[in-house]
Amino acid sequence: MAASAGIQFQREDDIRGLHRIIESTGGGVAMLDYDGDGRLDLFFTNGCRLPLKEQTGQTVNELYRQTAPWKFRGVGALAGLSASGYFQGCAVGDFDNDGFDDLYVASFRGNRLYRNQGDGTFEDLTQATNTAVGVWSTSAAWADVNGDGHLDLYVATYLKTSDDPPELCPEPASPDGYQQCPPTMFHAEDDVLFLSDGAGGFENVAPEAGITGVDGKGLGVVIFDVDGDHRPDVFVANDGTANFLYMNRISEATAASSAPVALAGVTPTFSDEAALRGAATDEQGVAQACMGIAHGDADGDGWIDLFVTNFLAETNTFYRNADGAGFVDLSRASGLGPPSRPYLAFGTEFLDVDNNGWLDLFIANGHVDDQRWHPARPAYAMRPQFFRNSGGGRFAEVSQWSGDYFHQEWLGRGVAVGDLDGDGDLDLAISHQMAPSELLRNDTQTTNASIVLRLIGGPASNRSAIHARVEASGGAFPLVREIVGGGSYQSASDRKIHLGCGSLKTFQQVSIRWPSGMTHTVNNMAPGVYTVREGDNVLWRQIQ
Amino acid sequence: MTPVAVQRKKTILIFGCVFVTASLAAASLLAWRRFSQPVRDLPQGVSVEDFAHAAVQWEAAYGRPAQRSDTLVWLGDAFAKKGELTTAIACYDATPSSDPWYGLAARLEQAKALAQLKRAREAEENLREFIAGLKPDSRVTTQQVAEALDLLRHLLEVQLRFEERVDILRVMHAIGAAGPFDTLAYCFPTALRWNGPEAVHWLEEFWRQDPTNFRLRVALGRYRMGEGRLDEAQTILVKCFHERPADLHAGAALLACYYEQDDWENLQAILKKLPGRSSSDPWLLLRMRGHVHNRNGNHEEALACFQQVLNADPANAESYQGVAQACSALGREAERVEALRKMQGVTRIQNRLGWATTRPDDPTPLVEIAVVCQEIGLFDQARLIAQLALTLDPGNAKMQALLTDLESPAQP
Repeated sequence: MAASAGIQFQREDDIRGLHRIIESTGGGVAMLDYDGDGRLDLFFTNGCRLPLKEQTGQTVNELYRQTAPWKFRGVGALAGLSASGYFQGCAVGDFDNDGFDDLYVASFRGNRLYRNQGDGTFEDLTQATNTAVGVWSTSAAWADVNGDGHLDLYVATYLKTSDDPPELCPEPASPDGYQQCPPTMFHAEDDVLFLSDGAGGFENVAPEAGITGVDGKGLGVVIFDVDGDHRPDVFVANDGTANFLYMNRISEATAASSAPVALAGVTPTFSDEAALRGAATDEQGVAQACMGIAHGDADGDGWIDLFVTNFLAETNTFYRNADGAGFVDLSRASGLGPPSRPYLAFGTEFLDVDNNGWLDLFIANGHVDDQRWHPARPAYAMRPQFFRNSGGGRFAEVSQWSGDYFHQEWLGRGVAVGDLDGDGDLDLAISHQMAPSELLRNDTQTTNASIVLRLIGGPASNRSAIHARVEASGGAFPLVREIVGGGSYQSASDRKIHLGCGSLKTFQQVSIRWPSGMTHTVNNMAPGVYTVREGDNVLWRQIQ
Repeated sequence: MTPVAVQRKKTILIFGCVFVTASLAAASLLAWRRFSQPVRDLPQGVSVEDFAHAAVQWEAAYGRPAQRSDTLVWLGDAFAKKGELTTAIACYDATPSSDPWYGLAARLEQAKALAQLKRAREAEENLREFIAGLKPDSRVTTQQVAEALDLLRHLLEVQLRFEERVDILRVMHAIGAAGPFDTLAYCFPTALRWNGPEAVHWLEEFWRQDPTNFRLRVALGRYRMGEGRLDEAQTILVKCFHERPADLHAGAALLACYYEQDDWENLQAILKKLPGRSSSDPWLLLRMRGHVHNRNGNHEEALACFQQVLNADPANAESYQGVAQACSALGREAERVEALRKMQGVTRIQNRLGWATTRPDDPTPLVEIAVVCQEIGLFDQARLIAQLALTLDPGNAKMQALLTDLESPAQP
């Protein structure tokens, strides 16, 4: 749909025969309503000529404003977002709680924090907010890690390498004379945790906060409550090294309290428990080349599970959250593992494509290096995959029946999910390398309706309502959804909560737990689009 | 001329003719003796002229008449150099292993040519004959022994025969013939992963040359699994197992195929057909046994299986995971944590192995591997890798200190 919708964005990665590892990661896409008009807009990150000193300024990030359903107009320059550089991922969050979503854009060198000024323009406040990062950054995630009502920011970083001169791996058999150096040849950069000071500034507290994982070649990050203690934990997907699972720990004083308490004023402390909780590697102890992360309650047991995309000949990994105590690798039992071995996967998201309450799964695939000259001829561009959840976290691949897009081969990278046209079902935006980005409109034939919740936090919770948790009961199984920080691959999906109603006319009960701990329960909620404010007993239903 | 003079001339003439005739006959006889017997049994592709020419060349090079074996090996080398491998192989094949000068060398050269033609089974047979024939007075160089072992190692690892490969690597280390990759493979037999597209390609080439070969088919089944082509893998492995139900490697591979599909019913059914655990079980079979035992709640037995793997392959992450799972079920938390700690160490080693194999001249990954090995108690491996690092960077203080530390009485 992209071209017909007015989006003609093709990322520039400067792929021209040197096979530099920097060229492999591609970019991200964000869905956000930057101007508050009720329609989702799109932001794509762009690359440039390398080395950076040779960039021409002609390839820039782009913001597309949706002016009507499936009609977009490029407004990046107007909005002040048309920066040129080798940008990677993006994260959306209202860091100053002014009601307008801001953007953090990760980069090979030179991350940017753009504050949404509420008038259709953004201001680069990177230096003023102290959020500059000078090393190769990939994905980022907004989250309120200490519960003070202000969003903090986790930045996943990747490899220590240079663009000038770049590390090259000669290969005489390659027509170009090179092949891509594997990430194993590089040391890792250290991730960053920017803690908000509540006044618009940030400080990198990673070392003090225990974000001290060794060998973390981070490509994906998602922040959510793993163990049900109402504190956000951090999962980082690392490329070829053990993943991190930083569990958010509290002080002993607060631990003494039996009630769930906010962490206001408490310094966050994290401990990496990935290995202990079964999330560091796959079940065979292999530290896979992890890229993207999908999160969601895929098996309907009330706990947020994870799905991580990996390299060719590795399985993608489905980590079932075992009642908050840890994760169990159910890649084989879920049906998601073996079909993934022929593919190299990047962006991924769970989405309930037919509103039956079960989370289905989309995966963008594509190799990192063109090695078609090799006798084994691995594929370069690859077909994406779509898996339908047949219930309880068992999946079946239905790619061949999912539309023309799935019959073509792409270098798929960032993926974002959201209801772009407001018709109650979820659509997709995908960032490619060496091809235009694409929008996929959900045309699934179904009579199932949905409830869409737009949550506005505050004053105790962050306005973006990140870490709000929703439980809907009345169906065959309770639906649990959480607004998380980060997710997918270098991308940001729309934050609205989407509840597929299946055959239900109403959900018997929908409970919202705000990050502050406040709860709000609605009985007999019918399908529709609602806005809910923290502390407000009124449900604002969108007229459609 | 008087009648006497005429008679004398006739006599001289006759004797002269006789002498010349006899000389010619003798020369012919000598030539016949030199060429006739060998010429009758020439290797396929070798003409009489080839053979004769080679003999002359050999003689010119070495200053004495060529024996049959001299000529055959000379021809073999010449054909190999020209890329006419089939003829080269025939020449080497015609040289018996018992030949005191060329027997073993011919086996090695034959193996090398066969390997180039992807005739893996025959290459392996020749290499094993070479190794079996080695004696203290064998006329082979250390270089040739190293070559033979190295080629055999390669053939085994492409076929995923890791247990046998360890034996070869052990010998290579013992005789000082181990290169950097050999040392890494010896220290971490299964941590160097082998389901990459290149390995598959080699295996497929081997199999095309010898499609009925049982070991190759089992390996192909395992590679197909690694590629996600489970239906093909299962077809191949079910057939192999039915052909030789006593073959533990085939059984193990089939178990792994069912494991990959989460098909516990078939997995357990196959396991029932196999004999009980033994000290000679392939490592893959032991791991599959361990997984089944864990699933069935026989955690002590699972521990025994995974520990048996770790005794042979102390850097096997899957086994540490299995140990951790068993210990968790048995309530042995400290052991679970320790197993996971080691598993994490192995993941770091695995990551550095990629670097070490891509850049064999770079000591950095080796230094880091050695440090991790020491941290998780793989002291033998730490020692070997540190020594390897020092060959690249003799002044590396960290490695020198590590070795000193390992030599101290406090270390095992």
